[in-house]
Amino acid sequence: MKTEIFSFLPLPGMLYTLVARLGISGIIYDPLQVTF
Amino acid sequence: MPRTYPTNVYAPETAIPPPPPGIDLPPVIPSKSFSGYRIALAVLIMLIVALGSLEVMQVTRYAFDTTGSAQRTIARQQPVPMRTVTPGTIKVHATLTCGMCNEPVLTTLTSIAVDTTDHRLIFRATLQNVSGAKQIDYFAEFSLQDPFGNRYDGTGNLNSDFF
Repeated sequence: MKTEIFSFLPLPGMLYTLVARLGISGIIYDPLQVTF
Repeated sequence: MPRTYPTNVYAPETAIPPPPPGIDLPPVIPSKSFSGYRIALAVLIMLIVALGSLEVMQVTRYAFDTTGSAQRTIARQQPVPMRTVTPGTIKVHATLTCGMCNEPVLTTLTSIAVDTTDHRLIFRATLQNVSGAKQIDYFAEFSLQDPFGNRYDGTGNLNSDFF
């Protein structure tokens, strides 16, 4: 289990995009959209 | 025969007497410096009128020529009641997909906690090596981006640790 902390509070209803990329293999994950 | 006129009708001894003591005479301003003062005042008035006209023209152009952008600017300045997100933990099961690879590291979000006390979001994720091969890697980027282009980088162990 890994934990990631974002030091901000999102605005409700706004669409945020999670962008993830690995450093060694260079894998870029597909963007994941999140709303709160 | 030409007629002669008296050249001096006043007696030389009828000069203007000095003012009595205690009465101040107004200062005599030389006509040259008084003229300069009037010119400077006129230039100053012209500058004020010219700058005022320019300001009025700019305000008028901003209000009428660019009506759309002016309205948008005014709309942004309206006070907007701030809505806050509800605190709590959201259970999710979202697996990050990778359309261009065979997903050697399966990353699944399991929960998102909204911590309104410390003003932060806490993402929890599990990593699973589904390829079977030994892998050493790390997340060079694990960030959230909003529609305005703001990027929020994570500060947890997912964004820095090797696995």
